[in-house]
Amino acid sequence: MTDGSVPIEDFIHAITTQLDRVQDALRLKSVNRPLTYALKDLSMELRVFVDVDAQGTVRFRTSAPNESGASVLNLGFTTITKPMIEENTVSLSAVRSTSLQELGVKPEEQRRLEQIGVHNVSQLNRLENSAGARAIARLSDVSMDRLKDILVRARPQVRGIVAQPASPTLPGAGTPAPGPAKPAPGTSVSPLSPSVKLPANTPSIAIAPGAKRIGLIGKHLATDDSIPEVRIDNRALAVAAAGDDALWVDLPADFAGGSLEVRHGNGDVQAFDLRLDDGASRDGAGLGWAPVEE
Amino acid sequence: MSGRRDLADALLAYLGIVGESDHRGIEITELELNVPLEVTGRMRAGTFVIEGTAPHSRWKSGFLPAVHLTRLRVGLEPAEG
Repeated sequence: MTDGSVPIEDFIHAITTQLDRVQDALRLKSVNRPLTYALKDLSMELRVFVDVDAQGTVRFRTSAPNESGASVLNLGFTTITKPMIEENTVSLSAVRSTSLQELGVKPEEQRRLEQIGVHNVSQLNRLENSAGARAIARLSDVSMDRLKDILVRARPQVRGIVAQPASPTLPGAGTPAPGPAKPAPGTSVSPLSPSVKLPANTPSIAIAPGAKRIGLIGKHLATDDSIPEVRIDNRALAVAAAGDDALWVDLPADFAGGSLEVRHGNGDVQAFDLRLDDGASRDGAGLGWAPVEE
Repeated sequence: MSGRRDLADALLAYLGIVGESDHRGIEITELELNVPLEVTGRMRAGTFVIEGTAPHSRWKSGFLPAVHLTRLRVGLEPAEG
């Protein structure tokens, strides 16, 4: 930044930081007074020079003395209530989702995807589910081949299954999600027959008898608005905790082995043959299964 | 520019007009101010900060920062807790 200009986000953030300071100072006054004043609205008629840099970022600079030709930017700020904030901002869990940068998306591709409202893996998967990859490629101007590569990496996947260790801590798990998992939007849950026929290449996982809870370890598992639906022989399992890289589900008390099915939010379904084996480790070690990397 | 202050300081100074009521039975419940401010943005310790002050002078000069019109509306509210 050589000409004193900053990206528009930094500009707005700098103003809101000042307004927060004003509100905090007024709130402090109210400690010793029954009534206090609050700043209800602020509108500013700012004279700025607007520029778009080589990366396509809009930058603002306040006009200096003796400069003419500045644009007039009318900014209005008002106070909003907590419910209004919750209604108009993305949930914290959305922010928690794997970022595009972590996915290995190039900065230029990231900027293009952000322009169509995709800031993380969860949003990318949701958009693919509703609009399709071709529409994303066309609107973002990211090549179809490159987008397919990104979507494969963004796909939710269970890579291993472990029985809960003796310690009750849930590694990698996020928000507790008591009760059965809610179905992902856009996925229809067709009832399976109790005796589900699994394909021949279905991974077989052995766990020690008596395990009450299993952990599905993987990537991009829980999204901001849904968590995978997990079933054993067509019975929905209660999800104890869900995070981006782990999902912990409670096994039925009478569990004696069966077909484990994981229905992800993007419609993908993974199946496992879960069986009890006295020889399996009780602390969860060595029970993992992982598919070959793409 | 040692005279530069954060925009928040300028706004709090304006709001101080109503904040120091002597409680003799008359309270201002709402106030709207249309005031000019000299607003500039500058990097300070790696952070972009918006600064604002009352205009230096009512006279126009090519050496003074541009004046930006600002409208403030403040209202009385019950204190929290």
